Amino acid sequence: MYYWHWIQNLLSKPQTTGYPTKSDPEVALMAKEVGASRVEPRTLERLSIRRSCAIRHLDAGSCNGCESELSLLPSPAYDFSRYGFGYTAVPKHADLLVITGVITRPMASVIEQTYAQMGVPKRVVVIGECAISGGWFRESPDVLASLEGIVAVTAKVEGCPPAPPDILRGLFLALDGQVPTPNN
Amino acid sequence: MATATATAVQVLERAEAWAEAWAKARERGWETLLLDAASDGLSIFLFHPESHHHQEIRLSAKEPQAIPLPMDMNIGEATWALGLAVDQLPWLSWAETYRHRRVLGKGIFVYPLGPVHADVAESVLYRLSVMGDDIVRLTVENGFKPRNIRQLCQGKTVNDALALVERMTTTSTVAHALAYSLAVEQALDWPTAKGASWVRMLLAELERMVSHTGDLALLAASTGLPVPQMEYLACKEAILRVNFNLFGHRYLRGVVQPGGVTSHHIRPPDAKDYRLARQRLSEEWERIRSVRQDLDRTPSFLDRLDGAGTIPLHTREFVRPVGPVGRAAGRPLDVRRMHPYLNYSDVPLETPCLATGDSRGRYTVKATELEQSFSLIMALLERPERLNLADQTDVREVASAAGPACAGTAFIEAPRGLMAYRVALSQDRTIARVAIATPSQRNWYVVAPAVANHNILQDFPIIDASFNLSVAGWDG
Repeated sequence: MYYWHWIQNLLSKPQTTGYPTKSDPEVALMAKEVGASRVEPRTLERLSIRRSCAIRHLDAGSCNGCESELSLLPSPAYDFSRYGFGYTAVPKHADLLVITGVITRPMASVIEQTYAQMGVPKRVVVIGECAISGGWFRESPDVLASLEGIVAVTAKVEGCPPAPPDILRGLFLALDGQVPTPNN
Repeated sequence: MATATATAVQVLERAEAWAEAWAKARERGWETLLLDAASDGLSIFLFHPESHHHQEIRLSAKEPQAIPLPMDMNIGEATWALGLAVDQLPWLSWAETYRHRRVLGKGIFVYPLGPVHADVAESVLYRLSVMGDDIVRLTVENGFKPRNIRQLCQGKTVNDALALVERMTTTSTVAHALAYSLAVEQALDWPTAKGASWVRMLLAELERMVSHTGDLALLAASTGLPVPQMEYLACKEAILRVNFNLFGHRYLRGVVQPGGVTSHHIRPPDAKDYRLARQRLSEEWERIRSVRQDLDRTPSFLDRLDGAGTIPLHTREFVRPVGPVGRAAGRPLDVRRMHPYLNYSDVPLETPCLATGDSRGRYTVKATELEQSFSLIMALLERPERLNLADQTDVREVASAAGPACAGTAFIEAPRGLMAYRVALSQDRTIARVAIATPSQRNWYVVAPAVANHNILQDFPIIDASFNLSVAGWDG
């Protein structure tokens, strides 16, 4: 039933943005402006994992905004699988732990357990203001200010919520140690 | 604009009489909007869909007394209320705590699922008691992500509290901001800017489209159909980009404010921007329509939904689900029609309502609502002169003028159903108290009985996706 779609897709231009490895003004605009999101500049060693990276997502107390953006990463618009990224259901298979939302007290031990289950090498990407610093909920009695003392954070993606292109850049940073610059 | 009807207030002093009055009103067809716990009493706000009357039943707390559990009075829509800040209000205590039930028997196996789930999902713990493949019982445990938004709002300025309530559930940002703004506007008797109502309608419908495409994508994925999933996700992304191009935020955060609407762009959207948005959305429309046509012709999809996760009749009467979940189970409640706010009384709107109560029903209702939201948006965008963002009232100006303490109530139709807000302001115009009723905190209580209703383990992801409720909106 979908053959017609496939033929159409072969003939039309790709829906997927080249960003962040190629320039795309429309996507770049969202990346720059949405909640002032950006990836914290930092240089890291390259991981031995190359272009096949399993991601475990963990919601530590989010408003489902970051989830909504993360669920768009496999969509045709961003298609993160072309870089080898994919979500995994099992922490034991995961290379990257992606944490969204404020770090609530009940979830702190869950984060620790999930991280402990992951094989080495492993890295942690923190997504959104809430997960980085508690954001608007810093004063809440059940919210911890950050992941300090729970797990070591590799990359932080600011924004509320950060747009999918920024999340992609954050994943690249965690994997390669640097954010790709758009070139054509 | 709907005319504000006077609220009949009934003040009672005995907790039993209060609970009985509530249960009786409910039997006569009153809809529970929300529960507001103040320092001097517990109020219940009701609305009658046929007569359009409002009613408040207040339990005035002269001395501490044990309040009968709503569940014991056969009121299921306020089960979440047990989580009301008991330690903050010394007079408030419930007569009994909730009794956890357990399934015992040979061959029963409890399958814990969560709080961390496969793929991208919110944190909630399911305990599935299964007998082989049959699901005998399900318990859903929440509370892994308490942010205490209602508590945090106390003492904040009108603007700061707005930022907090908007973050309750991001897929309902506009709904939260709108209900909050309408409540604040009612409290301060503050006129909304002229063009604001039309723009707010546009925003609310755009959000409904985003939410429903996301839900349908998840449902398609749960039945193992990645092609429609990707098509729906592509639509969702396109609408999010339209949001961004028009108002400067993908989820329209900070756009609806008390007093009016605003844009994050330096230049507010003009006729040309609206025309471009219209063009973009019509292209997406072709896609949405063809995906639905194809799905409706795919037996492997429909067979999985038919009869899966049927809400039992007694649960429907007990919890009275709202939104698409309720409308798929024979409850035609749609606030946009029953109690029109903004300019909803001026537009044609046919709310779908089915009696099946299963996953197929929820799919059909959401897919139909998606089409209606689209035609509403198209009609709104056809007349860009009405969507004027100029001359909006400045929120700080009005809110800084001190005055007597006041409160306002508003309820609207969020993408997931009825959402009610009651905002109480103190004399210095900070927030004294905010009571919020989200659709998810009510609807979550039908999930467990619907799952444990002659389904097998393999149906669970599909039923879960057909509800796709917000955990953030439940935990608060």
